[in-house]
Amino acid sequence: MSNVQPRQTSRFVRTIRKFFVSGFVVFSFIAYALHEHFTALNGTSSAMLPTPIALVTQALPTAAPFVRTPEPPPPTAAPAPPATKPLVPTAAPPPATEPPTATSAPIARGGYKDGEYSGPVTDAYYGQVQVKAVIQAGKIADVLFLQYPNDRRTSIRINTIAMPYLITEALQAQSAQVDVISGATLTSQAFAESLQSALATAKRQS
Amino acid sequence: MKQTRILMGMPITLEVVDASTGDIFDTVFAYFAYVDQKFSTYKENSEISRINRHELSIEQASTDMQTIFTLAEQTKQATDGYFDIARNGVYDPSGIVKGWAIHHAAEIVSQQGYESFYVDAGGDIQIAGRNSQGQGWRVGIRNPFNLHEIVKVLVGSNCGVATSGTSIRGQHIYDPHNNHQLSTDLVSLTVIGPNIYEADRFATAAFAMGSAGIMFIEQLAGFEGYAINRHSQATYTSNFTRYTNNAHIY
Repeated sequence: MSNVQPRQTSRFVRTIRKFFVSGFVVFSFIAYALHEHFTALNGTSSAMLPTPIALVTQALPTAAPFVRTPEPPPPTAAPAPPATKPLVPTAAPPPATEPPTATSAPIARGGYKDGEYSGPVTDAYYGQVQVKAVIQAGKIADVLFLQYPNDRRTSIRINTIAMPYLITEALQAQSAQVDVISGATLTSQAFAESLQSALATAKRQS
Repeated sequence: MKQTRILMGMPITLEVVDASTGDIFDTVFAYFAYVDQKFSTYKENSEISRINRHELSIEQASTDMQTIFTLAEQTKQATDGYFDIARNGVYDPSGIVKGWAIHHAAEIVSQQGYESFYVDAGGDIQIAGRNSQGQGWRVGIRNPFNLHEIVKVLVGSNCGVATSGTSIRGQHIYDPHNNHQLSTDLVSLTVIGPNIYEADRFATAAFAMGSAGIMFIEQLAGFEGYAINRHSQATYTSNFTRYTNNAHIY
């Protein structure tokens, strides 16, 4: 009898321990999943904006949501002015081909229409990036990340060294007063024409 | 003084602002002819064709050929394999030879004492000094959808401007990580760098990265880029406007 009692106790303890261990594993998993989920969606409160057109797609070097190390200094406005400055002239003739679908807001002095504009999801080499520009009083008030790569640990190094800082605009014809031109050369046309004519000749001869 | 000749299958232009003789033009065009003769994969008797036919090993090849293979390997490593002159066992170094040749041609002109000139080979350009009005050279970026239109004017001096695109002599750019399929979301990528050799090789590699290419250029110190996608949208790097801000004045 004295032998049975400890065996039962140990079986009971073992069961309880198993239960706790499995519970802990499941809990950790859920907690991790939730943590990843919420850090990924940081700042996406209005991600479902219906405007797919990006007048301005700009990623400011604000804190990446997943960076755990020290909180970034609050004055994130510091890097903002040099960014907004070159943007304003590009908006002077607003791209007529792609007007934003948001209607109510008036066009203010800065040249942009007030509202929030989500850029397209862009493959930024190390992950998907999507940003939203908030325009108030015709000027860029804020730029938020809707998507930011945080699923690859190797990408962190790249992100923190060189933040996406790119600007998108619609093509506009410029003054043709240039000394020299870079781009697709006329040889491509000449090449195509030459090939075409050669093929046409070949056709006649066959 | 300005002269254009068709060499390496494209128009090559040298403009010299300083008082110049015809000799400098002959020297420069002779140099391009030499490069073409050595590196053209279209020429049966070129050195690169002999290497591709295994008649000549790289170790036995000329110094210039070995230099190109070394530079190509350096560029391959610097671009995570996006730049690769080997394709299906055949070497095509044209992606690096062009920028390298323009860079050398510009050095030849400099060494002859000229300060203000440009060398343009098929839209890849080395600019030096000032234009005939005594200002920075004005380099237009061509609209890939309308070859008669300029979409950007850059003003600069002593730098290289290279554009990679899908419309230049067919599809010559391949993505080594995507089964050598051409990346198509990007139509044209212009890169400004410290010289045309650097600008050209990184333009070629970044173009193969597709829409991510402009991010790659952003991360390179001393380089700026202007990418045009098939939706006629342009994306440019953070300090690109350094070259365009002055352009509005004139």
